[in-house]
Amino acid sequence: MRTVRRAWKRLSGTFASARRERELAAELQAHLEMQTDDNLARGLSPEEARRQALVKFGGLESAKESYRDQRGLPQLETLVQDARYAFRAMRKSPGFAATAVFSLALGIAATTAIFSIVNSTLLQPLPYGDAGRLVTISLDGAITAPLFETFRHEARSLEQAALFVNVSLNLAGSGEPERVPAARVSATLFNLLGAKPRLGRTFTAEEDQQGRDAVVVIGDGLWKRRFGGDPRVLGRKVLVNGAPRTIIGIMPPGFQFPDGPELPSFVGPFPPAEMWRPMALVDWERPCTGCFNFGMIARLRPGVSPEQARAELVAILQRVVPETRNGATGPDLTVRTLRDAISSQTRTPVFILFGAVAVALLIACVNVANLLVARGLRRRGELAMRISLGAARTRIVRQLLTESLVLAVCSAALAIPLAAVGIRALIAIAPAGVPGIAAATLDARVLAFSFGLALATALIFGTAPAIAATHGDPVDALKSGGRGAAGSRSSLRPALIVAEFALSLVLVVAAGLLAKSFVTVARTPLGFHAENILTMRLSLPDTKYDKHSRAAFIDQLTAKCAALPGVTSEAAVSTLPLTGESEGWGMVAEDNPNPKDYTMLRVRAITPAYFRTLGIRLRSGREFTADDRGAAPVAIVSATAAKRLWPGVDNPIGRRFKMNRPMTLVAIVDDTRASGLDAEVLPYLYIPFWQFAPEEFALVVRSAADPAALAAAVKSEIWRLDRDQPITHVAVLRQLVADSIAPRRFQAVLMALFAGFALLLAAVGIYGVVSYSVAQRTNEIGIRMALGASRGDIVAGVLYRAGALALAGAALGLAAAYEIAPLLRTLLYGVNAVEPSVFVASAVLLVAVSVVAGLIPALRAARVDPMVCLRYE
Amino acid sequence: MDGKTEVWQGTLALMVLKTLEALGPQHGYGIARRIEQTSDDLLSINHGTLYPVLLKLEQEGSISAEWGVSGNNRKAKFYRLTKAGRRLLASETRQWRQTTEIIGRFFALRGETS
Repeated sequence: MRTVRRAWKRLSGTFASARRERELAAELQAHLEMQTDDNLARGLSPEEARRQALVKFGGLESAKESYRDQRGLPQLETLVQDARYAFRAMRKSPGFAATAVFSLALGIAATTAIFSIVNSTLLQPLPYGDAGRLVTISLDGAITAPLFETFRHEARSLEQAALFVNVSLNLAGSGEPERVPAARVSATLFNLLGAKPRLGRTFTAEEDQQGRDAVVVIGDGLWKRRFGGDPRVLGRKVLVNGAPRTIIGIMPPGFQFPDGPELPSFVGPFPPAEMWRPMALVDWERPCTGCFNFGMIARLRPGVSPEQARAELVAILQRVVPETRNGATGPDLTVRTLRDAISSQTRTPVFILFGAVAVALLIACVNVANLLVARGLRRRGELAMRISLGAARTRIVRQLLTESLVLAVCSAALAIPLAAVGIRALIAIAPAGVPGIAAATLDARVLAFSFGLALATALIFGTAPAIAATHGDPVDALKSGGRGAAGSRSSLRPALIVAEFALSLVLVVAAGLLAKSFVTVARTPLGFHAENILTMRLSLPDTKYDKHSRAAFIDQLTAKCAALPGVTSEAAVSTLPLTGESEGWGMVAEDNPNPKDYTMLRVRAITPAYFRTLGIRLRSGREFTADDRGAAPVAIVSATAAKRLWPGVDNPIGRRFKMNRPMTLVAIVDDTRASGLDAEVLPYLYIPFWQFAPEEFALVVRSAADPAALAAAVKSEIWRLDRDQPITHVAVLRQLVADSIAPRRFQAVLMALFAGFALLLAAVGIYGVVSYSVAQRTNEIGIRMALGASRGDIVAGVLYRAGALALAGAALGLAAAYEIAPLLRTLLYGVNAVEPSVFVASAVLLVAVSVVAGLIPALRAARVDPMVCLRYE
Repeated sequence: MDGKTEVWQGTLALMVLKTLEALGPQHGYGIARRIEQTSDDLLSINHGTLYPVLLKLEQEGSISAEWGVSGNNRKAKFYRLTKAGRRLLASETRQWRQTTEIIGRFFALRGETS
């Protein structure tokens, strides 16, 4: 307690006030006077009395000094003094201070903003209990119910397992009907995730059975939005897809599942679920070995790694499904931790952007170091003077470092509001479907990071200049009047410029590679024509439509649309291109001797005009026709699918293949990149909507002119048929294509911004160095001109110097980029990581920037008047 | 700071506390004089070294200070023992006695094996 009290007193005593000093002087003065009085009383002469009093006291000033040390914290006092001095120095050269603080603040802000994204998307723990043991298990992106049952019962490495699939449900029964993103989940899911409802309960095993599943659990958001957070909704019946279901539980805020675009691949960009209903597998789903309709999540037993689990599951799989040609073989089975599954698409881009922004910050540091060296040269006289007067070098280095620290802290103070703006901007322009990005904020961890960053930058940019400034013989510096620098001293600045250019080149190369990838992806043939197509999504739930009325609705709707002016073609399809993938069907050719050798095809239920409307070319065979209705089931496959189903068969048209029922192949169409421009080309199965019609449908309408103008007319036609039909996702197909490559554009644009920032700093740096050298060499230039050098020679000489520095930087940068570029490989598409054209173009750009930056000082050099110059000398 | 000064300062602090207990409120000069008198002038201290000790005790809260007027009408800072100071003095006194007693026993030892 006493120590604490004393520490506090000393800390406050550090900021010595004038009053404390006066009091000390008065107290000691009184002491001396009292002693002198006593001495006088003993009969000494006044002088002798005074002298003896002083002797007795033992040195007034040293007593004061040790009193002051006792009063405050001397080290802290020095620091405060240095900081005050630094502020004064900054005020004296505002241009320098502004440049340094602003460029550092930009660097720190950008790094902080990107770090906050790293923090929210990759570092925050998943909101599930013991999430490290959670894995997703899939065969080619999905799983079937029978495989799930087999795995669940036989795999010893799994503690618990659950099925899930995203659905969207119509919610009615209190207030306006609305479409709610939801999920069908096994009763075990909540327990498996370690999630408890905030109110009520979750599903029982009994409720997970067909016919007994009239219950739902709702999310916190839906509860507050639609039910006003009223706890009495527990037990209330609501209409879900037209059927009454009882609300039995409410999940706490922050509970999200499924989360992320990777669960499983057909889930697509669904918004997070807000309502859950029991899986309750129906009769046809339970035994279907080809229905890859589900995602599977499991909790591993403690101590079991995902690799061990995978080995066990592969062994089980090979026993259940023996030797197959290209269907469910071991290598297709993936077991990934939930963390990986959620952030696999985010991790690499986010880390690469983080690396890029760190490089940009490093360049800002180098730039400030450069400015500091220049300032150190100007202050050489002052520092030399202090060293000659007996200041220790370490003391001066410490003071210069304190100045750097003050710069860094000012920059961080400016950077934090900038970062806050940056984070909001990043969230706004980030492509959809980056899990966790919306939660990015300046939390304690991010603030600690940026504070640490400021300290680190101060050390990075401050150390070398501080040592350089105190290096060398003070006598030389004093002799030259503190005016200039000896030649040998200026080697640090060109080295810093070369480093700046090298780092910038790495960023420019990275930006170039990403931009080229983006352009390549954007130019990839889609396999369909996206121009002039309007799309929208509809929902025809089982509770309201049966198979026949659904087909009738689609018939009527396409007929009505065809009658609209401006419509050239129209069709319906179960899943639009580039909006996530559909479920998969395991299909086997009838002539395949192994009935279990299925090929997983992605399913599209279509109306006959679909290929015409989207411009997908028929390779052979015919479209579906009205005559196929009521006749034997037919199907069309994509070229890739045909190759896998009937390898080596030239024309398989007319052959039959099946999952449950056999279908006859009537045509083969071109492949499309419907699951992503940069994704692998998937095999597709097209079947007419009267054979298979899921609840979700999309309408595609090709128009002669602007498709968006048709939206109102099409919507009113739909409402004329069914006035309660919710219409969602009205969009132009061209826009869906653009959205699908938005993440690449985002990466390329951000990287280009960082590279531009780096180039700007490098240009400022080279401008500074060249200007300085021109100023130093004014006399020399004057003499050369007097001796007959032309202005052109002078300009060329200065530019040559700038270009040489840039070239050296570019050479170093190319070597660095050659090593670093392969890290980008997973983000690149159709571009080699060490693409020569990008490397050469980047180097040329860099040299061009250096020449432009060098031009101003070069022209200034050319204006030197040799007469003025020589006279001055 | 080296060990000697620490010990010396510690002892000096104890003397200051004891002096203040005996005299009541007193200024720095008075404390210094009294310490010298008590030790029959065997101890001669530089009066200047007293002030850092007084400051330390004040910072710890063992003594408090206020301005007053001395016997011969001079304005001086008067130090007074606080409650915490009294407690400190009591415990320090106990410790000091114990230490001297132990040391005394050692000095009283005679050779036993010779």
